Amino acid sequence: MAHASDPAAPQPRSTAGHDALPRPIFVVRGVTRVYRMGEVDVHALRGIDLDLFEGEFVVLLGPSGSGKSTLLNVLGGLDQPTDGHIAFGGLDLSRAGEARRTRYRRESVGFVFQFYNLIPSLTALENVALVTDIARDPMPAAEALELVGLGPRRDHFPAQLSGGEQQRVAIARAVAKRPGVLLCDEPTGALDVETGSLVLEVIDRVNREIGTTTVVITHNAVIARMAHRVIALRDGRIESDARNEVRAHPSELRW
Amino acid sequence: MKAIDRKVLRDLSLMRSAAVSIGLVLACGIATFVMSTSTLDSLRRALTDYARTGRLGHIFAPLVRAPSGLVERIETLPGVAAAEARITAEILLLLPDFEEPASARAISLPGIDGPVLNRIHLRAGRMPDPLRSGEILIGESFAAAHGLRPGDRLEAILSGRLQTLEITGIALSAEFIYEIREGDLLPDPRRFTVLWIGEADLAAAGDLDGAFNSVVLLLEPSATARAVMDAVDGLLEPYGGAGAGDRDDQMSWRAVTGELDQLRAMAIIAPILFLAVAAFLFNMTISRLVDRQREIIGLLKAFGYSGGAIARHFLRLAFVIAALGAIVGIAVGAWLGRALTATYASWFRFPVFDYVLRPGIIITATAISAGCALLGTLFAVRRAVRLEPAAAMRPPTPPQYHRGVMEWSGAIRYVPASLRMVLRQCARRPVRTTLTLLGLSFGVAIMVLGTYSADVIDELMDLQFGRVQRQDLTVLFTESREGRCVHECLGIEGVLAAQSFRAVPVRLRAGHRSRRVALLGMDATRPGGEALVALRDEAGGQVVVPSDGLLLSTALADLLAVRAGDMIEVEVLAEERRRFEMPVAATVADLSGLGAWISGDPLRVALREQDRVSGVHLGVDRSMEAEVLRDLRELPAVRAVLVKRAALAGFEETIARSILRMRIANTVFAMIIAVGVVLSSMRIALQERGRDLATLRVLGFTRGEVTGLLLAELLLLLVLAIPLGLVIGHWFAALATAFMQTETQRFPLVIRPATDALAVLVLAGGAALAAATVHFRIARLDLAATLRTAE
Repeated sequence: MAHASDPAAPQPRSTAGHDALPRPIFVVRGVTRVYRMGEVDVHALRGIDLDLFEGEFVVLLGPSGSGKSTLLNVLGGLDQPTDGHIAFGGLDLSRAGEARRTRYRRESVGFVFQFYNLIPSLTALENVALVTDIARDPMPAAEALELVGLGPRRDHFPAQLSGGEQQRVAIARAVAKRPGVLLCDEPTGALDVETGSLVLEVIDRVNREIGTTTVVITHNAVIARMAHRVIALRDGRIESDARNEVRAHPSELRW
Repeated sequence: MKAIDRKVLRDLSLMRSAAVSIGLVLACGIATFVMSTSTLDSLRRALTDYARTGRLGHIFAPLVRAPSGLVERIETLPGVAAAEARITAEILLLLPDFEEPASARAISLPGIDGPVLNRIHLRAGRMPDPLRSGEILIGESFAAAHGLRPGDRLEAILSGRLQTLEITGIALSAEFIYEIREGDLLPDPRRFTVLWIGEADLAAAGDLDGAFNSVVLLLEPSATARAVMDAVDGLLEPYGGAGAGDRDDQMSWRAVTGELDQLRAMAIIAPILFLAVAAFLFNMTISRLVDRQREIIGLLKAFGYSGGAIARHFLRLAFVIAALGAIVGIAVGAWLGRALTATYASWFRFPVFDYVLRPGIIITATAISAGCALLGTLFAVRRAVRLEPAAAMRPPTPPQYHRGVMEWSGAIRYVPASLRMVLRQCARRPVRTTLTLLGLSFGVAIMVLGTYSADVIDELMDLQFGRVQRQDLTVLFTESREGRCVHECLGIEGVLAAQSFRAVPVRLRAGHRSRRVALLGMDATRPGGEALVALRDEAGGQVVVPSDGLLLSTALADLLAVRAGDMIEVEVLAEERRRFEMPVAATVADLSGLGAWISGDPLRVALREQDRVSGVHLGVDRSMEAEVLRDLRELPAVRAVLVKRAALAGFEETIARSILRMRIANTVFAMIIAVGVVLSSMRIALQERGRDLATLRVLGFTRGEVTGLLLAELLLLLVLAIPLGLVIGHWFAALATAFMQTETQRFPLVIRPATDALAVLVLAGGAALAAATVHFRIARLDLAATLRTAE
């Protein structure tokens, strides 16, 4: 199962190409998500229609409770919509079972979390190896660490690394499998400005150099300037969906 | 109820599965403690009460024949409170419903009131009328085995004369709490009984008018038994005194006190194992609770709760679990104790044998339970008390990992990243890992300790009845007969082999040490071939009885402090006190007691007699055993016929069944320990690593792979715990065996591979059960939530 081929999933590509013919990688149609909290229904998503394209760098903006995390969870195969359809290439994520979604996460999704979620008992290199050990066509773990500039710190445990370094290890872990999509949930939320922009630079480089479709959720509007496309959510609905004519370099961002 | 007390209850209900596993392990410890101490207490009380009310003699002296007047001189010996003369004889009973003869130890009744010492306790019917001949009382076990009632009649052979006896009553005596034939390893209530009969009848049959052949003494509290026995031996020597013995020389007394020793060992060893595991579980669970509630503890302190209040809070939680464990443990212990007492009551005949659970035992059990909880939670509670309010409200510092031996040596390179997690986690908390390891090992150890006794009994049975005593029947004569009776036996159709022997009571002396034993002079097996009785050395090799030396059981050689090659003085305890010296040729394994063997002919030379035998071992054609037994009834002067097969069947019915019951109970206990320890440690692993595991699930690890990671840790511990547990189990079994050894009874330490295998299987089964529940819990991990929170 670990190395089973998955013709339905889009194959990761080594060259970028958002200027080429845009092909939607995600197709989201009429997605709603209702949570039952005690006796009240919470409508986290109220009918989202969305196409995400290969190689795109998308920022999802919105205040807390706007539904951006729920959307990320649905895109990442961690959660399923109550209604509507969501497809990743040929894979119907809204219908896929638990095992199929696990395989999807394993082969096609790279996650970066606000609190890094590194395994404290494993060194930087081992944290990356944890994923490359089970991926289908990974890059070498050491190469992934070089990519985020942490080659010299590969044998350090998380507790011996700074917050920014830990987040870069997490990015290396996410991209080492050559994922179809990189999903980042408030990647700079726990970091100061200097470190945060360093982390964003790494994410930006991954998107530019490897061409990985990247979705970053944040409530920090400044970050939106580095994206191809900015989608704002409010009350479970898409409020706006705009393209940046000029993408800012992460080093230009200050908040 | 105060708010903080409500928190105790809420916390308890949140950690109920952990509380239940701790409580159950604790309950197992308390149950074994209560069961063994209360049964010990009940049995000891029944024994001492009965010895007192039944006026059980302290000293018993058999002799050949002495005039009745001599007993007055014995009574005046210093230290003697009372002495009573009596006549004892072995008689054969012929039962209509039974092909083989039963033997009875007959004891004379001085009058209508019965004996003054070793009093008779009438269970049914009436005392025999001293003026009427042939009236008897019989033992309760025998009466029950044959369905005999007062008024029934029996045929008996008394000194070679067939006589009809009438049962007037069923009786008990403190002398025969355990109705077993002297020298037998197993009781056989269908073939042996004690029987009381008028003195005149026995005197006439044994030609003992105005005389006696046994005397029972009660001692003053201040008397020393040894001095009185020496004085009695001196007085009786001219009358064929066979040497006085104390209560410990009586089979019945030895059997009951032997059980007391075993119960005492069980009351100490088994609870220690359980309580150690319970304390460990307390420690693990309450530590984890304190870790998880750091912020709450900080908050409470910030509100002004004192360290003492915090300590009381967590201790109260532990004490509630301890109290529940104690209640369940005491209830189960009382139930098991009652059942065990009932089992003993079917072996041991007391007039009153009630199960008593004294308040003292309940109080002790409760105190042990509380002590266990206190010991287990002390460190965790101390940590809670020492938490600074501010520090407590900050998240704990992230766990530190460092490069260790595995990293420096490079060995880690061969381990996949996921397994490195497991190894480092175990290595980071060496104390907890060690304790978990010990807890699991104790599960194995308890299992070994609880079940190995069956192996010991099997070994005893196999050695004694399989390899040493290979005869099928043993015929005992009332007095020695001529050797040609061996040919009479061989003449019976179905008898394949016969080995005769001459038995005499002797006193063996080596230096200042001496011991009264029965010396067996063994003859060759006829018509040839393998000897029916094949003595074995400690290694199991056959030892041939030499013509110029003695064989002693290892226990006897130890008592006399002699080894092969040492000289021993043999004094024959018969009317004519002959003495001779002989070297010890070798020691042999004799698990039934203090055996001594010699070749038949040198013994007869020493006795200056020719061609006399006391009994014959027979090997028979199994298909003709019934016919052989019927024909043996026709032989003159037969005192008893011992049927090995029947004794073994009786053993299977009683002792083997109770061993099986113990085995089942211990298996349940071991299961509880195994499941408790595995479940608790995995539950905590899951809590501590829940976030890591959820991260792995998000990263695409399947539920099976994540369970596998937790199981890898368990497996690693199990692989270490199993050999360790077997070592600890064998060590405790050796300790328990050492507790049971008496100077006369030797128990071998035998633990069969099947016992070890069962212990390992039970632990593995417990682990599998726990693993299944963990797998189920992993399914419920909230993946999305773990990503949005800092550790």
